[in-house]
Amino acid sequence: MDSAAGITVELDRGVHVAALRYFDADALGERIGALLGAALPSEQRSVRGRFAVGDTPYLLAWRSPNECWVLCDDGAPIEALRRSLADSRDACVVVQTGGILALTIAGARTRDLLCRLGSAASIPRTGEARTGRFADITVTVVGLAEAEVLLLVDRAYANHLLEWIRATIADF
Amino acid sequence: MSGRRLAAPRGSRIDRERTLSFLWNGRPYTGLQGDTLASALVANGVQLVGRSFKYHRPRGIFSCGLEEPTAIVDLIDGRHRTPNARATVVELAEGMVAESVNCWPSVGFDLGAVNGWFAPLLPAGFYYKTFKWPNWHLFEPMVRRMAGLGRASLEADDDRYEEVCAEADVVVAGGGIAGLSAAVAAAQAGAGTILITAGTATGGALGWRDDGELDALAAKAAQAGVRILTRSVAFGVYDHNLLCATERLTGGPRGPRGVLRERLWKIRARSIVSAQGSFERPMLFTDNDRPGVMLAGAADEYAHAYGVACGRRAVIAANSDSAYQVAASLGAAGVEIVALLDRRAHADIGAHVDGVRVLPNTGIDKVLGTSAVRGCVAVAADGHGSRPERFDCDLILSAGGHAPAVHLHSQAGGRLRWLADGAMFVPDGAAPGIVSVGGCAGVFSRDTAVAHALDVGRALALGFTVPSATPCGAGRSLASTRIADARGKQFVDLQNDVAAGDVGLAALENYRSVEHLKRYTTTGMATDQGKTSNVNALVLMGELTGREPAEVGTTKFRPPFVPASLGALVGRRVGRLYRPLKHLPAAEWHAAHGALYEQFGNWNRPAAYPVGGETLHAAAQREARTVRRSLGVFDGSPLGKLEVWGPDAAEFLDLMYVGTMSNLARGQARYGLLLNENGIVVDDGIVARLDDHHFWVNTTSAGVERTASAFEEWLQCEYTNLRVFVTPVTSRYGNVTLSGPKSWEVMAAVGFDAGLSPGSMKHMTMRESALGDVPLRVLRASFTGELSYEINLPVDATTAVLDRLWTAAAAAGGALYGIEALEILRTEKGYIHIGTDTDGTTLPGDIGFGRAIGAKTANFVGRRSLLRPAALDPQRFQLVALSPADGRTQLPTGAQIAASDPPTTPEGHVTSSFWSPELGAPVALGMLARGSSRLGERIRVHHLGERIDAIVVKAPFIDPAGSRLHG
Repeated sequence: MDSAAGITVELDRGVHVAALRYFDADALGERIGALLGAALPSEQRSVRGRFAVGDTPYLLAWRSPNECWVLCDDGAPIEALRRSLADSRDACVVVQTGGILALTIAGARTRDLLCRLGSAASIPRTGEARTGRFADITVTVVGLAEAEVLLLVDRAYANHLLEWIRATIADF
Repeated sequence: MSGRRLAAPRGSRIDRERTLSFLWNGRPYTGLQGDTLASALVANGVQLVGRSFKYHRPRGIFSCGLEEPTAIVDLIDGRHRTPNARATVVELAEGMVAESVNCWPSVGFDLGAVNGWFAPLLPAGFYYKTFKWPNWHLFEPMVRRMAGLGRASLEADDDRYEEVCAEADVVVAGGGIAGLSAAVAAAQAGAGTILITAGTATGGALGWRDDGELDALAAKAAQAGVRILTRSVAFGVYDHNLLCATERLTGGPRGPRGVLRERLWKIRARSIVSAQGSFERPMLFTDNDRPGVMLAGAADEYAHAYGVACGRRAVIAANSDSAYQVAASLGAAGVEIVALLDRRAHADIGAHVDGVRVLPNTGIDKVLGTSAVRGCVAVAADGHGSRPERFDCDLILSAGGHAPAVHLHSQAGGRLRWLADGAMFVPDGAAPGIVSVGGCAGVFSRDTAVAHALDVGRALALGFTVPSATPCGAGRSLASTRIADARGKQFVDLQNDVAAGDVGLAALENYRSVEHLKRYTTTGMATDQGKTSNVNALVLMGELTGREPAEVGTTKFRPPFVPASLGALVGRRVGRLYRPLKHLPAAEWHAAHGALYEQFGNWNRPAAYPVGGETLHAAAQREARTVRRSLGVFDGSPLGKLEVWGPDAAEFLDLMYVGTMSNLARGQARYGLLLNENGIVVDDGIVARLDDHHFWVNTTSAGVERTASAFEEWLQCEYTNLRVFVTPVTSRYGNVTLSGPKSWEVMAAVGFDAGLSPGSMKHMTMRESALGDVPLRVLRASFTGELSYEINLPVDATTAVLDRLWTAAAAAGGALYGIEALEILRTEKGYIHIGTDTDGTTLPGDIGFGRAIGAKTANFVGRRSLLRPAALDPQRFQLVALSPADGRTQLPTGAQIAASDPPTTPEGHVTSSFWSPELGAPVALGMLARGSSRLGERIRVHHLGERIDAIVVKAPFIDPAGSRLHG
């Protein structure tokens, strides 16, 4: 964890991630509603809930009209989700655990930091999930709270993003 | 010009209690806190500050702002230099060191001034006409050395720069009274507003005056929440209302070393307000470039803002009513105004000044003095009337009228119109997303400007129709600022040494278009971008060609409005952040095992693992030899990986690849080439079928993002009926590859499932398996020609599995191998590397895939292009294997193949070339015209003047039967 100038940056290597792909969000929502207990997120939104199995908390982050990312601290619910769609011709789950890393940034100057990483238009409000170019790479940013965001980044680029963040915070 | 410091109360920007020391051309001087370098130099009586670009004529300080064309200086901090700073906007700092540019040995005695003697040889466009015989290159070094401005630093910049993005409802460029009014109105109406101002505070051109209204507006701006960026200049408007500005974060030119120096602002705004004011237009008269000739408004600002008189006795050359205000203002400050020579007839003059001798219809015929003004001779502007009259003075002020700063408006695509009365170009209505207010809209009446700006700010905030501006308050000015029958050099563009005669030559040679005029004479180029020259140049061109200025028009204004430092544009992208670089999941493990890292594509990868002081070459040779004789362990994690899923996945992949993928059985894999719509080979890889509608796709390491994007584009734009998902999973899976005859032996020793043995699992098949609780996708495919297993596994398990395999491999005599060894191994086998052996012209037929194309009857991307005549040309370059005729000389990669010595037409080039440790001889691949039909032919390879004979041979060099693939 890095902490400076009123900002904390924490890399969570333990998060489980999967890409939920679907042709029709409504139809899929009906099919897996019992598992999720909530509807899929609408455009550029995120949804928090708990899996029916194991009561594990999850976060769904919208990525595109036919994709959202599922994040939770346990791989079992994602595996259950994958199995529930194994025979589907309309949706699938692609596990991305380890390939996508989660970075939590919190503190009063969170927005200042994000403005120095990428486009202001890609900075989410609480409950939003926006994908944009940050530090010259593609990052999905989820607004968790007023001054707290989650950055989802390709593992191979995580070092680059972290170094950019550290260099920026050093000048705060 | 004999400048001096004026007594208080003059000098609203300076602090007389704080003295600053600085060095100018090696001599010590002092200035005051708040001075610019220019104001401090003037206060110290320094007149000569530089030499001109081409003729090395002596030049002084011409303006007081960012339009400065002549006071260009280099700022020096130890070994670091900041070139081409404008002394007029450089804030003076303690210990500052500054130098004149483009002069040797000194600004006072510059040998380059000899250029003036050869001026007839150096007219506009001289480099198109002269110095051609016997050869331009003979003269080029001398000409280049004689020309130019400052010198760039040879040292890396150790300061830091950053980029900040922002959004605003309204962004106002310019902090003068109009800009401030617009910002206040917008913010008070609820708009998120940003105001950008060049100075250390708001106020703009009036900022140095004691102005209660400005102070009140500044207070309102703060109250309304306007975000004010000081020391900032908006330099460019780009698509979709993106406004870019640079902000100086340190007061002095350098200040402390290694600091955050500048910030690049990228502001996306709903509306942009341009309020960048106007520039004063100079007068054209003979020797109007002498030190001591300057803009009238600038002299006024120096007097009142910095408490500096630019001279003792001034003559004002006027074409504008503003000259009369300056005469009164400077007179009050203690500068004697000897005469005001007005180019206009009496009837056109709308102003008056007491106690100053005014001569209407009069202009300057010539300036007396070379390195400083000693006087001038005035004549009737129309060439008739009274006798020439001499005036003794040390300062000549030029007040040719106003030139609104229409740059941002023009950059945004706005049109301009010519106002004949004011002799100026103003915005012709509003451009999309941008509105001009104040001086840059041609509104010079203060009350009108404020009222209009308030209306604009309010309308933008509330979404109302934006009121248009009516230019006013500038009075009458003549288009032409020069007298009839003027002789000698009257400089139109002081920075580029473009004189009226050069414009005349352009007209004579029919470079009449304003775009041609600019490029032929270079007027309007360089650091000042013609802020003081453009209007005079095009008016003159109009005069010479019988056209009105409106007919001549202006060139398109392009960013940047003011020079932007490369550091600001680069921001954080230096050193390790120069570009995004991908790192292996087992990066630390490789480093601990001696990896020599290099960048391949956008990956940081082991090139080799040197041991015992080996060179990279020696290590790669050892590694490649070990793979052939025993086995090697390779981290293939960067290999591109996509999951293609959906009911129509097979049909989709058939369309994407030259090969057919739909007839793959479950678990089978096939090599495929990817083409673009022009039939060009853009990537390759292996497709494996995991399930009926689920495929595993390997791409090249560097090509996966490009391939995924191309797949998405085809799905979203062309094959919209296909139900397919393409999901990149490169980072989800690590990849450990074992290659060599002992591969399976080692895997078996580690505990891999026996079903993966070569006897059970065929080449080009994929199996899902597990090692303990680690799930695996194992592909038998080979890029080395040896028995190989590509083991794909969850990325977090990569290091552990790699370590287990390496422990076993090391015990079996294996080696870790890197990219260099892989390149040797694949070249020995004649396997192509896309992007190395192919380029942006390579078609599949060129690399031996002609039969595959012929065999596939179904459609695929690029197919139609392969039927074009050029694609079927028998002379096309084709991939061949090459061996040196002497059996030992390695062919240089990139060397050209040609039948005769250069200069000649090449018939190919070497694409890959290595020393084969297995053969003890060089191996190479190359592209050769008609290559496939030239087997056995002797060819000539040329490299840096040497010729190497080579033979076209049959690939592969090793194991032509391919038996080693099976262990």
